[in-house]
Amino acid sequence: MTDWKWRLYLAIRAADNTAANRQAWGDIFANNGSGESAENERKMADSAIRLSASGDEPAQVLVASSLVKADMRTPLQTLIGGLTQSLWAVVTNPGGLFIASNVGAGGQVGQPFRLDDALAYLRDTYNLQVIENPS
Amino acid sequence: MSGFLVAQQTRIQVMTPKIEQLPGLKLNVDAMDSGSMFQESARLTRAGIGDPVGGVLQPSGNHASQTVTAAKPTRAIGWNGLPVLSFDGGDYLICDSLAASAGVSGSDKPFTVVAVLKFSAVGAIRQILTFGRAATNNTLRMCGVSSFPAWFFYSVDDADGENGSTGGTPDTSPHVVCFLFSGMTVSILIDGVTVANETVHNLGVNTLDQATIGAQRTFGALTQFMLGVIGQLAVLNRRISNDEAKFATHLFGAKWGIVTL
Repeated sequence: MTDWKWRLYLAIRAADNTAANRQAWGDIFANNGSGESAENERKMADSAIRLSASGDEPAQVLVASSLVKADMRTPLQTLIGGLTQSLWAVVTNPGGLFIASNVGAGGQVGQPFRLDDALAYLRDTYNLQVIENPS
Repeated sequence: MSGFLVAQQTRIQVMTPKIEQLPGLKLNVDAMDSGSMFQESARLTRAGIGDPVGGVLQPSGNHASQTVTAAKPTRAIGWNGLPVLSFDGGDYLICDSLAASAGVSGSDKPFTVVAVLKFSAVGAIRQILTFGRAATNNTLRMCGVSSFPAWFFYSVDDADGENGSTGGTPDTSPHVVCFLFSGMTVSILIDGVTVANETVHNLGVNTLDQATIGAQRTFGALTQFMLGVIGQLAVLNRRISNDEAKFATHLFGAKWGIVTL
């Protein structure tokens, strides 16, 4: 049985990708059994999906997904949920069934919820487009 | 005549064909090989189904790794109930020693990539494997570009420009994909069907020191992430023969339940 019981989708404003926030979520991963260093975990936003209202750079919102362990989930939700206009949604792993989100929408409990659904919610609610294929 | 018949015991050894039979194998990421899949980049804890994959042990020494949990692919169940590595659009593995080991660093060096994969969505560039150079745009890229659409073997060198060899049409079905680069020409086989046949591709790229599975790194930035699953990815340091390419295609096709020519 995997210790990684959940997958967390998160969306934050690019402006919130600060050194302090990177350190905070890096510490949550590293201090709760990720097996990697906090310094490395702070690079989480480097591979985030980039979104903007125009669909072009610069990115206004960053979206990432990550498997999380039990001791990571609540502090990550608290951290992300405390940021302005942030979104988190958590699903089962494996299975990808919706459990909850901080906005109370975007999925139905027990129903499949994927990254595409999170991106669709951001598109429909905030008109945010994925910035595709920068060279 | 003797009343005894001495039956000679014959030991029958069944040989299972393996990609390792091809000389020059420098990378073989195989999601079925549970002994090679680890959760951390330090390769301490085995990755089961549903676990992140941060380290892939390689006999060649070209271990693939990812040190950021959010960027680790997940070992999941794919088509036909078989284990795969799932890339969610922000996941990738780094295998920088492969660039030199596979002999791709330096202009016009031959190599081969054989992969079993399935895209989960169309509409963007999905990199399978890229070789690059730190802090520049010098890259060799093997990808599916569903918006074009085509399977691409692409190279760009800041000094010499760019060159693309293309063929076929990517979709969301599982495929055995084979890129054969002689140093001067490219062939691309999809499920054994040749979609690019010895296309002139005379732009090798010099001094490549990065290798990335599932994304490209240019100017130090990560882009064009894989969105889908990879079952197996093999890299050889030579352009294998057409017969060897058939062998590899049939081998992967039979193993992963994909009909090939």
